[in-house]
Amino acid sequence: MRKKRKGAACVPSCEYYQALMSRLLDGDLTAEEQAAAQEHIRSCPDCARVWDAFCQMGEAIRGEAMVEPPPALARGVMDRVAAHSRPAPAPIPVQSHRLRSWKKLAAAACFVVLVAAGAVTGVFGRDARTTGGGNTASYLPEAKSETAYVHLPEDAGGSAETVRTADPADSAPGAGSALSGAADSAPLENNSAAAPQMAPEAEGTEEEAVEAPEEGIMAIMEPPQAAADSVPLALPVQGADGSDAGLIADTAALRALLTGEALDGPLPEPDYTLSLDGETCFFAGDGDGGLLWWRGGDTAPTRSPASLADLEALFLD
Amino acid sequence: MTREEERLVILQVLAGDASRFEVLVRAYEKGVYNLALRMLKNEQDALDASQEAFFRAWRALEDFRGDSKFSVWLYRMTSNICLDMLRRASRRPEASLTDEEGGEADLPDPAADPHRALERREVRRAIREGLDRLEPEFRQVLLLREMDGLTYDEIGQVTGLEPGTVKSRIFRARRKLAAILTERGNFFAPEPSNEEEKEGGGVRAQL
Repeated sequence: MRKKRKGAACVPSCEYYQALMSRLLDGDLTAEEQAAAQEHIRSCPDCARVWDAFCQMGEAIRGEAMVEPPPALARGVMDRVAAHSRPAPAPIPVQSHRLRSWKKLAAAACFVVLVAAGAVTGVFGRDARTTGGGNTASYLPEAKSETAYVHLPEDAGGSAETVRTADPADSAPGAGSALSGAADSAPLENNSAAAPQMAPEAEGTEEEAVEAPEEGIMAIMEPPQAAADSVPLALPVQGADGSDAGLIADTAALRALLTGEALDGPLPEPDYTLSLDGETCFFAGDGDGGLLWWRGGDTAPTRSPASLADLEALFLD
Repeated sequence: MTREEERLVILQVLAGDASRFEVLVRAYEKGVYNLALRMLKNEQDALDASQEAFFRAWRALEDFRGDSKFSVWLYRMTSNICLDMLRRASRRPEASLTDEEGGEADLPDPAADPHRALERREVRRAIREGLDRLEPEFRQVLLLREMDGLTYDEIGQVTGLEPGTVKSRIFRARRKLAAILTERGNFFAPEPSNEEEKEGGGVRAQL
């Protein structure tokens, strides 16, 4: 590896020793070479000066603090990445990087759908899973017919929803508090719009659900590649404090809310945020039951002809 | 970020979650930006080069094999982009790189300092200015070594050079810098032994 000249008959030049000195600084010398370099530095004033210079420039360079990059750097990169991301093949792409956790939520929620459906049909009980998990595919049609159990709090403040799984024993204690808990409710609503979007996702997640039940929800939070690659089954909605407020599957009805009369006033604090067609949409109550909405980049809200309650009625329950 | 976390994020991005790429941007923007800034010596150019590097990295992420560190791979992109920019600039008549002599007028002249002994801060400034006068390929390897702490092998991966070439180039960079500093003024006083004890003592103790 190292080409040494020290076997040569002539005395190595100062340049040779200076090359050793450079490598000495970089920790690249054998003990033997190091001793030779050290001896030469002691005996040669010129090389001692050069060594001193090498040391000082190293110290000076390392002493230079790194500069903080401007915020525009990451923003610019992510804008370009978003602009060049291949469009999702489905009607409802979730692409905004501001909402990056939603995709995972969607996958997790999809798992919940499966588990919930399993509870209804009796498939996903602990015993069934440990003894014969391979047959779940035959129950998928029933999974499609059910919806996620998303509980939205009564107050519209947008605190975290509780998505309940079928069997508390199947969730690791303390793991994913928003997603674990006892199943104490029956499916409240059968939203037909959700079904066709859920089907492909459900197939992608099925194996994961069967294979790793004991790890609880946390194991599901990192979706398998197939799930991450496919499309969210329903639009996740963020509450005012950034929490996950629920899911909206009926995007046609949602789009119907996005009309109305443009207002002048400043933007209020949003009660709900979601991403539709790659754009961030914000919603806020007007304090009087009415609904204001705007898109990312807007400077003023629009008053929807619909009410806040109309929007909230779209949440999968 | 551990290498394992990094691998997971890369997999997530490759699986289609482009937004996760921001995790990698945040983790390495400082190193990338500073590398670009050191090479280009201009904040706007450094910003452009950094963004281009990350964007290319995102596009080429499938090609990242994981046999080197992600940072090293990213530095390589950054470095190549910067070198391209410098090459393009050097073809322009008013390029900063070919303007070393003229540019000097803007810099404080250490020789004009009536006191021959430079304070440590001034030594640093002299070194920084000397670095600016090094050819980019020499400045690059020296800074990757001294500032980023990369090994010869890693610098080889960043620059596409053989480790042996890296080794000799770093040595030559140090010698050039020493020569520039000597030529420019009184950096190396005629009493090297005093100077050694004062400035180089700590490092000499490594011997």
